[in-house]
Amino acid sequence: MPESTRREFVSSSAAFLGGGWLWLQLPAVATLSACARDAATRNDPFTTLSAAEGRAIRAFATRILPSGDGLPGAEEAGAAWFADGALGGPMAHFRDLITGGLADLDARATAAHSVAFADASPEQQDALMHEVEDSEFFFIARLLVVAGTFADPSHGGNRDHAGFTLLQMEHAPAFHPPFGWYDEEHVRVHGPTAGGTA
Amino acid sequence: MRQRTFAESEQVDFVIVGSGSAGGIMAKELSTAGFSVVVLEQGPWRRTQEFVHDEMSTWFYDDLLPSRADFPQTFRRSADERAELSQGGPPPLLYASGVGGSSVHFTANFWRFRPVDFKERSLVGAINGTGFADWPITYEELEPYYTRVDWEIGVSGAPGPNDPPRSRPYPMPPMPVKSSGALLETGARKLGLNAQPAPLAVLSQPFNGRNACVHCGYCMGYGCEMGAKSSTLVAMIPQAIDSGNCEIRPESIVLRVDIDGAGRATGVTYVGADRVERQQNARAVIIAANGAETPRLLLMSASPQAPNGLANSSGLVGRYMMWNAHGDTFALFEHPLNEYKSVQATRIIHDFYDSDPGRGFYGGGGLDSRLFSGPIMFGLFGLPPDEPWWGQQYKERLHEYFTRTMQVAAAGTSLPVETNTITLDPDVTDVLGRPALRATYRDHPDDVKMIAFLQARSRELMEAAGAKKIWGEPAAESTIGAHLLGTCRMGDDPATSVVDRYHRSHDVRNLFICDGSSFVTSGRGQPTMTIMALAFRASEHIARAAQNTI
Repeated sequence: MPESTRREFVSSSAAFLGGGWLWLQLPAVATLSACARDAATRNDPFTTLSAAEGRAIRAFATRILPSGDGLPGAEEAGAAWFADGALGGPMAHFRDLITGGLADLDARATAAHSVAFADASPEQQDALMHEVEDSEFFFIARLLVVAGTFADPSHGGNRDHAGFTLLQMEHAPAFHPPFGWYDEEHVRVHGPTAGGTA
Repeated sequence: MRQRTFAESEQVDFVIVGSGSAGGIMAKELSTAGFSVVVLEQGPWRRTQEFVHDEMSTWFYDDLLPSRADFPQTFRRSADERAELSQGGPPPLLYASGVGGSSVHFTANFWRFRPVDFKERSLVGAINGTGFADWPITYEELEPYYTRVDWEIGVSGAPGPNDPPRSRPYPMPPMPVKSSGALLETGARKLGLNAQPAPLAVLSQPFNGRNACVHCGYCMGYGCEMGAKSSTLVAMIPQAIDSGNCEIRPESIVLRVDIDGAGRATGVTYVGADRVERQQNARAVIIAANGAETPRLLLMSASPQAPNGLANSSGLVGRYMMWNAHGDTFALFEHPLNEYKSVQATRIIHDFYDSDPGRGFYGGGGLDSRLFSGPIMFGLFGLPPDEPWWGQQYKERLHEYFTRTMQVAAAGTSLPVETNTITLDPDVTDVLGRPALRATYRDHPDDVKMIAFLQARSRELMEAAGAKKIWGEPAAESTIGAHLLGTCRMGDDPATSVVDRYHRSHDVRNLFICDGSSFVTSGRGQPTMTIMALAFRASEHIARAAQNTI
């Protein structure tokens, strides 16, 4: 999606976007109770999505955050299982949107390539996803994939902290300085109690 | 210690509505002074060990906020629009629900106001279309109470060149600098500006029996499981309980302030978790429910004697709402910053605090360095708009950018505009049948211009610090307010204010109102320190009045 179109879409999606300040483009997943938090394992069946829908969203997730470059992607994180849990719980109001969108992708893949979306080639999948990139379905499905990759593992995704590994984020309950390269350098030059520029 | 409980039939000295930044302090101050106090808090009583490092629950499932389904809000830009129901994203009026209020989830930036903030109308002059006014109190009058906040709530920091006078040093050193702070300082040095350690309501060392911060990184929007963030939940409520004179009643939602035939407050009517209606009688009522819920309660307490709402003979209850304008500038650097660690901000710049006629508009503000986004938020919205938002390159950019990105957050003045209001929505009701909060808000044009000015300075700072790439959305009108200010303004004249300089309602002698609603002007973007100082000061005056039988 071109930058301008993406921004326009995002800003026009008033029904589920905040806007303004820090939550400039925060999607709407509010008014929701606690999620089912039993971590799933890779071979667990989906509970909200059908097996076919599960295959489709796994394929979708893999094109959002692909695998195979030595870094974990959405598949390694189990993002589809997060989505399955969320759509049966706190994000249940998006369930029809997502299952409808996945069925649409399957229909498009069948029409164009005579296969289900999950069985199309990565290039074909990318092309089909570009066709629906400006839809609410794509926006929310991407949200599920991203959240499923980076949310706390208690929500069913981010297995083995795969998402944190992708981001180069150290996962620990507490940290000590130095935190990063620049503060370490700052303390080396100015001392640990340097009080700003004054 | 088990808290004392009071029978509903018992008349207590004070019933306080709200247990946040103001209510928590007043509960502690009045109960330890020997008065009997019942605090009615609409949200649950969470203990520190219940707070978790969970971005999904906190930011996407609203775990610390009021239920959106049960307590809807509506928003519109101006009175000629029909307000729309807020259905997704953060609510327009953003506050935490629970004992400690928003002091539990706040970022903990603790800037004092400066002398200019209290007398700026006299210095700058009138501004057309606004209710720009001086406060009835001065910085000098409030300074001792800022110092009490420093020492009794717990504030870390170090003096800076732009600071207002202080009567006592900070009780503890500032938090260790983060990479974003080091880079802001580098930029400031090159531009001849002053970056100083950020004053924070976060403990840099053990203090008053509480733990020091462990730099977990879950501050903004989260509760602190260490108790190192200086909420009233950890700094004040335990002392109130220990006094043996205070009962905190969580999940208690106040429906109205009750008034007798002589026009005096007799207590409040509320419902508990069982939704059964009850009364709590008190010699005096204190409302500290925040700048949105406080005016709503007063408007809901209309009666034949006060048809436009309680304490509203001025007509100003709910008016002059101020949110503080905000704007962000993002920058990418070569080496890792790891901004997900530790507190949000460690350096601030206050060189643009004063309004400057040379800019061509009114306004002032401050900058701080941080990265707001956690992993999910960054994955969704953290990359520059010219980068892809899915696919292999998107993944590679996330891998590179997350640890190497920072933002300069600009916070500034909001002018008091009478048409920016809290009113009762005529069409939408909450689960209790009360009219929903309706926010009507449009920033004054000067507020947006000031943010644009600060964003331009932010960009210069990041260039000077050696950023590889800089981006950000242009300054725009606000749709969300987390700083809820000005809706029951303080003043000497009952015709132009709701409370007097001691937070006593002009109209109802035994009704006091103290929270962000008391503000006359907005300050430069970090109001909680001032709300807390006002609460310490108000408590002293209220206690004195109570000894004289109010």
